[in-house]
Amino acid sequence: MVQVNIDGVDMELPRGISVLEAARSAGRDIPTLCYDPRLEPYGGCRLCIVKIDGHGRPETSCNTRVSDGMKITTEDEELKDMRRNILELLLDEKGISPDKIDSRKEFYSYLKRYGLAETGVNISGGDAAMRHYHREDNHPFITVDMSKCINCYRCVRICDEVQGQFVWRKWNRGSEIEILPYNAEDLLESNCVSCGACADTCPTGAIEDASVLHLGYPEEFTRSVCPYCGTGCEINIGTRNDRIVEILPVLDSPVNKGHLCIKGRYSYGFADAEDRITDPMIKDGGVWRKATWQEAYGKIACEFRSLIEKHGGDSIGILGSSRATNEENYLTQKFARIVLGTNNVDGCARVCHAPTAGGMGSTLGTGAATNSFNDIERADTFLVIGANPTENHPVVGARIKQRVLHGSKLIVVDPRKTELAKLATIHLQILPGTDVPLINAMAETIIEEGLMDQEFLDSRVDDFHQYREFLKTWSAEKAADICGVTAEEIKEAARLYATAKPAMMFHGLGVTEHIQGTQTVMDLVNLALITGNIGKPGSGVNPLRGQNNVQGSAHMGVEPSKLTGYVPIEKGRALFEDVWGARIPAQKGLDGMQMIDAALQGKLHALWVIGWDIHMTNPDRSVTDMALSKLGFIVIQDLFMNETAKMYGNVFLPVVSSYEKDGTFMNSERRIQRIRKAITPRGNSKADWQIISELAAMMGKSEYFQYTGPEDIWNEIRRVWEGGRGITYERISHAGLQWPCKDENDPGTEILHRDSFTIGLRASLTAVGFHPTPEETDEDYPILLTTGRSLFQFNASTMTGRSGNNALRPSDLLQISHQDAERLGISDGEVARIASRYGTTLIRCSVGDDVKQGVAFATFNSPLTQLNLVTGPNRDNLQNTPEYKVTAIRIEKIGQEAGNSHNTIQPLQTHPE
Amino acid sequence: MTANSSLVSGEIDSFYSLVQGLPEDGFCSGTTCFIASGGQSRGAANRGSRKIYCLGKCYAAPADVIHEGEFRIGIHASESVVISKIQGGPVKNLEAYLESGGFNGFRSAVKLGRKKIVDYLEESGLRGRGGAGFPTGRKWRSVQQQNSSEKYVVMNGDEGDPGSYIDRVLMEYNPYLLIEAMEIAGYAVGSGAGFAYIRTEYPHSIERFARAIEEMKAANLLGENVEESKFSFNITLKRGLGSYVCGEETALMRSIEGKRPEVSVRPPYPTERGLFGKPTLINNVETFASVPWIMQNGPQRYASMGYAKSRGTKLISLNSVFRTPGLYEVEFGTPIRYIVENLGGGLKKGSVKGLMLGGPLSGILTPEKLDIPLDYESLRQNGTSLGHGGIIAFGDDVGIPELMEHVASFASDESCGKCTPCRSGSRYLRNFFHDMNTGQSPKPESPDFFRRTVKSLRDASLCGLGTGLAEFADSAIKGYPEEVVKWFR
Repeated sequence: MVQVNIDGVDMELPRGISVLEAARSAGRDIPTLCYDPRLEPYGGCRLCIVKIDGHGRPETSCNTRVSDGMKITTEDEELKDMRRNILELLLDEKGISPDKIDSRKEFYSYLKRYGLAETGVNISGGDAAMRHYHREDNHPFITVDMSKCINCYRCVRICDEVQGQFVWRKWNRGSEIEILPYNAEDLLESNCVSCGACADTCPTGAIEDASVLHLGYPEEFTRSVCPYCGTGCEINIGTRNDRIVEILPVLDSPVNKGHLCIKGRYSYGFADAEDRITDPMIKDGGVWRKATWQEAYGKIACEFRSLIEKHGGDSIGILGSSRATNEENYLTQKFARIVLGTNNVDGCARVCHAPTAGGMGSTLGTGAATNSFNDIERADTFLVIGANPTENHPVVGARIKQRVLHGSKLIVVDPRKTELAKLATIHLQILPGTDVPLINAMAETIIEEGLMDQEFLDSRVDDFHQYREFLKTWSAEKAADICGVTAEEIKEAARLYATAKPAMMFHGLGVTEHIQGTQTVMDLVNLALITGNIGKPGSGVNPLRGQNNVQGSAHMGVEPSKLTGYVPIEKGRALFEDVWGARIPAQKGLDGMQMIDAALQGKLHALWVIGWDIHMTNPDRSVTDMALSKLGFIVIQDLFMNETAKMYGNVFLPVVSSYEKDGTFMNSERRIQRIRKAITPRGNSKADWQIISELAAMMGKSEYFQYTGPEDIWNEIRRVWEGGRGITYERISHAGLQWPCKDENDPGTEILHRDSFTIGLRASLTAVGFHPTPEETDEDYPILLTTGRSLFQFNASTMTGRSGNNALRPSDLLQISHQDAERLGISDGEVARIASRYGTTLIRCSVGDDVKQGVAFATFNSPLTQLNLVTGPNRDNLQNTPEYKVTAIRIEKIGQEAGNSHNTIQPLQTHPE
Repeated sequence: MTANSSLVSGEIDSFYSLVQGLPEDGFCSGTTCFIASGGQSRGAANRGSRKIYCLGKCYAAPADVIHEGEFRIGIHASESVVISKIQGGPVKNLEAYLESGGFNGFRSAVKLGRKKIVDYLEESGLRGRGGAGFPTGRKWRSVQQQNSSEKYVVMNGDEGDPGSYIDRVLMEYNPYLLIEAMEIAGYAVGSGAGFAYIRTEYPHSIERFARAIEEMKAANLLGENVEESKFSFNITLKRGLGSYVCGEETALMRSIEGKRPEVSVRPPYPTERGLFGKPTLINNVETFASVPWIMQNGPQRYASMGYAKSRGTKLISLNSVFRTPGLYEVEFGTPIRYIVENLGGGLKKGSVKGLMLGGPLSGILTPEKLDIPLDYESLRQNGTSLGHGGIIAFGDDVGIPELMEHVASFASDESCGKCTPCRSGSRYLRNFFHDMNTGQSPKPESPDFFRRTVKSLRDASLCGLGTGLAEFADSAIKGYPEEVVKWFR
């Protein structure tokens, strides 16, 4: 601590903070324009100058650190006059008239404070005002009018320092400087990722969200959590007249630190999309009609009751939603277990990270990320495997990218040259489905070269000798042949991961969506264990979860064999039955994939699907369709009349979006965060928790579902889940807490397995043999297709497709190599047919060098492509997760005409503006 | 998607004036050439839209790219520290340099050892010759003490101040001495990598320096294992691309890094986080030039020359309006009048109306102040500064409003654009003087706004470009009130 005197008041302040931070913490509001806490201090605008005794001239407070005995004057007449002069110079430079600046902008507030808002400046009038300034109004989300720019360069700096995209550049020098997108006429043409950071930081509105110009500035902000990926960024929802007009990042969020991506920041238009369904609907004679809630509940209750009577509760299944809150997922499984009397409840973790939960759970004791996003800044090396964070978890991706740009090492394992792969120290561009040989060979290299953490092995790890014996069959040379990379590359990666420590691992669905997904995760755990890259800051095994609450959904017990807290049913039965006052069924439940199987076999008769579109997203479409058409009764609960509902639904229950309700989400790093109602529910739509409770009442079980609201449900969750007991709504009013958090004094857990593993003091290594996928190429299907998402769209585009994102990414793309394109006579942008052993579809091709010859990559976002017509039936051998990542296909040229017609298919509803 | 800032080059190039090199038909628009043209502004060179500010031929102004002209080299000190070897002209080649005792400074330094090298510099009283006058030994000590496996030594050869051609002559006539000095620095602070940053406006300096590097490498006096020792030192020559502000050390380092050469806030100081984020010793050419002599002759001999806190000798360059323009090594303490009248021989035409020391971005010294001694502090007290040591005299043919427009245009053209007072304030001052000179009537609020802007420039701008402009404007108005009175009534 240092003793500092600010404007005559003595105070004690932490060493190392800036004079600006010190003064602001003391309530002295020093004006700033180029300052943004997210950026390195810049000292450009000079508005923040203060006087420091003993210093010959004023100093900029943003970059000057407090030191002991410093005596600071934050404002006097002289400083006031200089500040006024600086503002005048800024107005004069481009001839800015104060009335052009919105009164909510920082710049305007200072003009007002220094008496310039009314008068403006008319001093050199002329030459500046004649100049042409860059303007853009063709981007769906961002407008630009550089005649309002005051050269603080925050846009340029935030694009460089936070997003790492380098789009906004300064051209020329001095008063001739122009800020323009790099190598492009406008943002649309540039490599801008539409994160909106520039518009967020701009203090004048020169770069501004298009929405506020059309709909007006927000009157109120509500702190909540983004409804897209599992990063769990905190957002401020700006509303005006009960409508979302802008979403901004929360500055003090530990997750996103004042940053968002296109999805969190701009893709909210779906909430007010014209085709949103806001009344319950019942299908009569093949035609949907509006119904009342009582009618809809009545119909469902009647159908469910009769099925239970005839076939038992196990004839019904519920697919819960990763989009819904923890509270709602908790009620979903409670409903299945005590209203329907079945364990047939599963969530979409089944199609993504169930192998992670399973693999890490069985090896370490906790099936969730070992570390936190804040470890990104503590890691020296990253191993990113089967994940493309800059597109799919963009805020995490941006944080990793910044570290790499500042010198951290990066190993990327991916069949594609992703953006991070292009920045990587080593990119292992393996063939899809060859993770296990690669990981085994890396482990073998580490042990062979003596690079393991012997102390950690001695004190925390079992079964080393068996494991070591097993690995002897896994030379880098052998793996290299299988993986399609060189042995030396594998060895280099192994050395880097083992020596440039701490090394932090991130994995995605590229690891899990394989027939050996769970075992691959266990193999990754091996790698972390032998190198001691676990239980320490900047290390760990960290899944990047796909959806906002997919971690929470399964953790709340939307899982056939687990109860809330991911507790096996038999282990939790006593406690849960005691708290619930009801019996939990003894029969084993079906997971999502088994429900499809059971439907095909005529054993499952009804399905209640909450917030997902399985017709669009389950693999091997024709089989899914056959199963759905065999079911007698399907309830769909969603925002939109989705494809599953249209084709197979019997009753539709309209829900609210997460912007319209309270509750909690759980992100990838085990953090429970509050979401809050920012707009009123649309029409007659209701929150999932209300619907579930009311339907339970309709089925005569109201006594088990008496809740005053989400917090009340949460408090019941705390009674059954020990790891969440210390997390109260009050404690997480800001920033959330990470479980385990056992009591109300527990600060939560940033890093798991520090001194011992959840499973015990020691964890065991697992020999993972290689069982290649049966999905092999042959003459008819010579190319291996792998799949994934794109930055601009999310999953089936249900939300992004209705939010204006189609303007930025209109269709799915199939990336193919130059060699394959040449062989097939397909040019860039051409639409081709892809055929697998399971089905065919049309897709636009993007020819490049991001994939190797013989490999293709397709996004699965667009309902026009319906890529699941093509993906196959294989599943993870332990968790049943579909093998979306490997399908043998052939690509057929169909000629340009078809391409054009494909192009003219109308995309989904766009943003209302 | 690209994600690498180094891929972005067009916008960086757009910062500079001379990315394409020096146009053969180019001419100089620097202050001495402006003065030599009788206070007439010279436009931009035919090629390219930006002006060339100073080709370092101030002795032969108005100058152009092709013609070289002649100048004197003289000594007015009890001993010559830096120019004894070039009094008769450039050192021909490495052989000649070695014959005249060259490289013995390095050998002496190695014998002294790292600690003593810095002790010597501290005891000698040598101060940075780039203008700031920071004690050189203290700077070396600071870099020496940094705990880093990677450090850099940088020679700032971006002598952009119109009126000064000191560094140009040193680099062109005796690059060996500078390389030797950089090696001493590398040895002392623990760095194996040097950068010599030389401006494009000095093509002969670049050429001679590059050749000297090759010669010394071939003779094992530079590069790996210098003279078969364990010491290795390599020098990369970086060509400036046409920007005055790159003479400022942080901008210069950004320029070497291939980034936009903006001035950075300090702290962190280059000694802690400089080039590529590593501890960096950056010194001006003349500072380096003094080091080998001090190593060989000891600090006392150096410190025995000089005045007050300004020890040793200083090179001074005189512009073309003097009778005997040239480069003079003078002992600190020599009265300015002696330099003007005895070394320069007075003006060719008329009498001195004013002296611009340390370039245009510094206060004007009016004739009644000529008796003050050459000394950092004395000059400071009289509202000007020593700067690089270029002295520009001007006579009665140069009008103050025109000179002010010229200087403000220079500042505005060369401002990096980062800080508000300099970017927008220099632009405003330029417009203000332009209006004055084109007979437009001032707005009633103009004088007040002018004064307030000058104050912001002086007290709130980020680097010497802005403060220097304020210093100049203040001194011009104070020194020649009759010429600007109607605007400041």
